[in-house]
Amino acid sequence: MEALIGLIETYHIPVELPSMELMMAGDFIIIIIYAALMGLLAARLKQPTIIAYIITGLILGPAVIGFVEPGELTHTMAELGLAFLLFLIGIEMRVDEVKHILKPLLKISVLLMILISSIGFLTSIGLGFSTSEAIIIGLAVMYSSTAVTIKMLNDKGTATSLHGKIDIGILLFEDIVVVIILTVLAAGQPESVMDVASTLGMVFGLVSMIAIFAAIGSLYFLPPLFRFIANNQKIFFLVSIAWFFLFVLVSHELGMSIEMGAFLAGLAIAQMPYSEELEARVSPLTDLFILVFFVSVGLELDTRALLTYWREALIASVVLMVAKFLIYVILISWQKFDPETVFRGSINMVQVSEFGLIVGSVAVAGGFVDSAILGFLTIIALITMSISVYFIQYNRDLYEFVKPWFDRLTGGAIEKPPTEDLCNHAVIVGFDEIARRVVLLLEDKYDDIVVIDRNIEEDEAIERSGFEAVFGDAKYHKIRKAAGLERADFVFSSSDQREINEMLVEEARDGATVLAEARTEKDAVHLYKRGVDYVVLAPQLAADQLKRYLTAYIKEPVNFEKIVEADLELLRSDALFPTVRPHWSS
Amino acid sequence: MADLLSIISLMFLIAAPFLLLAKIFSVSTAPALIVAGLVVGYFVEEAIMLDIARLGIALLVFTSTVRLQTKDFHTEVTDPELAAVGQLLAVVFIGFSAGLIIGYPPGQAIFIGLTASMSSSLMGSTLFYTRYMDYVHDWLSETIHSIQDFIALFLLMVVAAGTFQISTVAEHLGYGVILLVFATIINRYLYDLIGKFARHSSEIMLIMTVAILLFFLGSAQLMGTSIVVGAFAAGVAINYRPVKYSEVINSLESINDFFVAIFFITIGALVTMPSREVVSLTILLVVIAVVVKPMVMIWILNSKDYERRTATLTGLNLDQVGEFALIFVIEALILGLIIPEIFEAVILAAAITLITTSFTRYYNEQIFRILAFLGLVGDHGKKLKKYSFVPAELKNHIVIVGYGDFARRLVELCNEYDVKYVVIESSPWKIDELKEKSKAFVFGDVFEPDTRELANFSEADLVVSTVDFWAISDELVRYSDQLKVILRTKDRRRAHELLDRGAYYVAVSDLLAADHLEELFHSLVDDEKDLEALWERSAEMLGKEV
Repeated sequence: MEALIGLIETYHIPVELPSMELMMAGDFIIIIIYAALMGLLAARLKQPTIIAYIITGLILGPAVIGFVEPGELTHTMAELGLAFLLFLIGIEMRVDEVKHILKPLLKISVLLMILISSIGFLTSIGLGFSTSEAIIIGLAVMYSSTAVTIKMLNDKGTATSLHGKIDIGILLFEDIVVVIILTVLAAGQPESVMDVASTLGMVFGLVSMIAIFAAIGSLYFLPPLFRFIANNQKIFFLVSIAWFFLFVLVSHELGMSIEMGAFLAGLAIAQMPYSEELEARVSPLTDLFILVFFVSVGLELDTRALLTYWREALIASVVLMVAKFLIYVILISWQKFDPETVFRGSINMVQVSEFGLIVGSVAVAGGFVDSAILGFLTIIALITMSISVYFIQYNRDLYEFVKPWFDRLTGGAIEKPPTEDLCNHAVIVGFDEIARRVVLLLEDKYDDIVVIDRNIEEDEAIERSGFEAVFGDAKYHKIRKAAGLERADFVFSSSDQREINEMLVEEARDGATVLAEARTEKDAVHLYKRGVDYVVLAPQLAADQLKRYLTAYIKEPVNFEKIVEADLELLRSDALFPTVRPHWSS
Repeated sequence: MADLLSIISLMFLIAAPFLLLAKIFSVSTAPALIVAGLVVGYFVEEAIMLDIARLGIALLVFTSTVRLQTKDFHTEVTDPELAAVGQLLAVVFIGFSAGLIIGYPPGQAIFIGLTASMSSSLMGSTLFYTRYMDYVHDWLSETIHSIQDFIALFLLMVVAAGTFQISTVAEHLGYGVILLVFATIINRYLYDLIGKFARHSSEIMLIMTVAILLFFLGSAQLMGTSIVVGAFAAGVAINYRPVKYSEVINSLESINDFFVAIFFITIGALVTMPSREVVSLTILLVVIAVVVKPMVMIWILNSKDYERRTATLTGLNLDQVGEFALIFVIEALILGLIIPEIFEAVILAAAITLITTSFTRYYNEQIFRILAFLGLVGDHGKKLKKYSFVPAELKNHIVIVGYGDFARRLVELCNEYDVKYVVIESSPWKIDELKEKSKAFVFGDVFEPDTRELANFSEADLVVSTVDFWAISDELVRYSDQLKVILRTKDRRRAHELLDRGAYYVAVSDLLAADHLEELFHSLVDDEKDLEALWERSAEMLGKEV
């Protein structure tokens, strides 16, 4: 209260300008609006939004017009953005998705990072940077961009192809390394080799401590907690956020990077069935806050910092892109993947990551390097990202173009392993009695049936019955994707929310059969127009059926009890999939 | 790490156990967060939280506006509109008078009345809104909430002027109109264009939507009017969107939940140790919201021919001080329009009533019975006689409870086979249809003995409840030792219970539909003809529109 009164006293302005006190921070408003406009342009030019955001920061900041001085709100949001991004990456670390190629990927990733950071280091030395600067640059340029690659792969629908999985797997390993490096950098500048060792030791100790805490939480604390709150979407979301903030606060109090804490908080949730829904819920916050982060990266650079090394940055960009491509090609083909996978998996990854900028800005904050190095890294990231977008977009055409000699170079074709993704399966949305019946009817026709449902007990029961279950709300794209909707042959939705059913029919592939429930005739008509093959008007069907019972009662009251006998047995059954059928179907 | 980040972390950490309590007691999140805020207030005294809470206010208004717009207003039914305005006026008057009596000047007393009158649609949306309002009282309450939200928004704009001088208020309304016109242009023309330009990227559209919201907030600030006005205009600009934008609307939900949570916690944190004055004022507000407000609604609906049960349940749905009252007082306080005591009392009253409303909702049937027993909710018999028509010899007949899709078919069937029957229904607007289509009809509440007597329950052959409402099933199953009772319920578990308690048969909609569907649809996928035949049947049912 005192704080509020203080605020009133500070800002109180007479009636002519009444509500100036209830003001949003102006810098924040300008940043979001400007970034949105730039983002719009980027989307139009098929460029990643990160580029738009960084350029926004450059334009608004001292490098160009010097219009915006970030306030505390902006600052906090930028920090939150980074923390949320790491949390999200933690949540997305679902080991089983890349389990089958984990081993070769580990080998590739380790060598890859060593080789690329060495090349980054040597290039920097060659360009005249000092040793310590070259080390930071080496550490900053070794990752490829999660934001660019995964996003583009998702947009193209090839994230689950073999080359997509290889890229995602490698990015996972890179993410882990970046988290460790950030933690070390956040500890500040070491004074001696001993200092480096003790810093590393302490960081390792603290990280292990938090990791053990996260692991214990993940094993014993979170499962019952989430089971208890899962059916309330809002509480589930807010408590998960609280879990995230717990780690952020603890890491901060221990003087560690909050990113590491956030990452571990996410990792603790990743292997649970709730991770997909949470991912869908956290992504929008991350999208918003990370925007502020990238804008503020741009805001930190003045003209001098940005342009001091622009020539060097151009040269380094070319060297790094070529080197990255070659190293990826060599390492991926070393693990005996087929040439097309090798080519497409490699060409996707030639950019310098947003993590390079994060490492750079943390290094600047820690006093390791001057902000001109961040400017140098920013230009490299901007150049490599914007070019690589086109490589990813046209990787197939490029491969076809170079195929004759590329295949020879990489030693000819090796058979592609079959993909393990769901295909030609049935997707059931929601799990009411109608959906259960449909599952039984489909059982013989489909090898795989995936049920999307927000009730965790039911999900477990479904899995025990031999079907697959995805926990989550089908209104989220991530959940529909997790069920492999776009590859399904049959879709049944027991949700009567029209929007969800429209999304389902829109995303289902051509030729898939889509059945959906509706509550009203108006909705049914609408769904037919959108292309649903058959709309189940459940209330009307039920009413018709009840009418039949009553007709039977009116005609032959004595026989009624016999007619409903099977029904009563069905009603008394506790089975998930009762096999009793009513009188009419016999 | 900036201080603010620690504060936000702390807020969520403290909120978590309260959220779990909310889950345990089935209370909505808002009061849990406000109470958590009371605790947060002990640790944090930073005005900076307000900065971020403002985004919460804006988002709250923004989403309420979007929700208001997506609702179909039933223009032909004026009862809820009348009831909403009537209740508002009455409660404002009572609150205002009470304020004057205990010694507040008129300028302060009016806020007591206004805040007590604003119920919570946010609460409604967690407690009882569903996509389809099956029960009369829920439908009535939801409509009343929407109308009161709309009035609250209007009043907020007036308050935002910071004075009650007509010219200043008019000026601010003028700003509001300018923003609204611009919002309408965005809504009609620009948003879709932007969508096309962005190739419908949901990430960009989300950011764009937030940017539009901030644009309106910024414009409102530049005009010197409240951000509430800006948020309202932004809500108009976004409005309901076709399915291609639903991903955006869903994404907005996360951002909304995050900032609104911070808003509620901040509100709680602003309350200090309450003084005696604050406590007594809080009690007054709670009494007005929990007792006076529902009674006013009961009285109004009773006089509009609604059943006393419907009236009571509707009244109980509205027995809280809502989130608009909170925005209202925080704006008023910052503008120096109200004293801190009223501000604190409103927040405490909101926290208390938002908790009690969950319980009054849960026990509403019991509360109704007690009130009816005490004779506080009016008579029953009067309207029963006025609208019902029952043939003299009604024996061995079928009693059909409720008149919806199920009942319509049953009435047709009974007419066809010339079976004696009577329909019991309590919605006034169904009377005309029943007069036309049914042979016997009792206008009344099946819970009332008079109703059952008029429908001649004791000599009936069969009672069919077509209403999927547990309280009704629970009531009717008591008669299963005297006559055959067919009930309706949602799931097998409940059906099992009712059968064990003696029900003759229980209709579970989804099971019935599943039976029918299975029969229609044996080869669910293989047979193209099968699908075609179904399709034709469906087309027949839906008319030629398909």
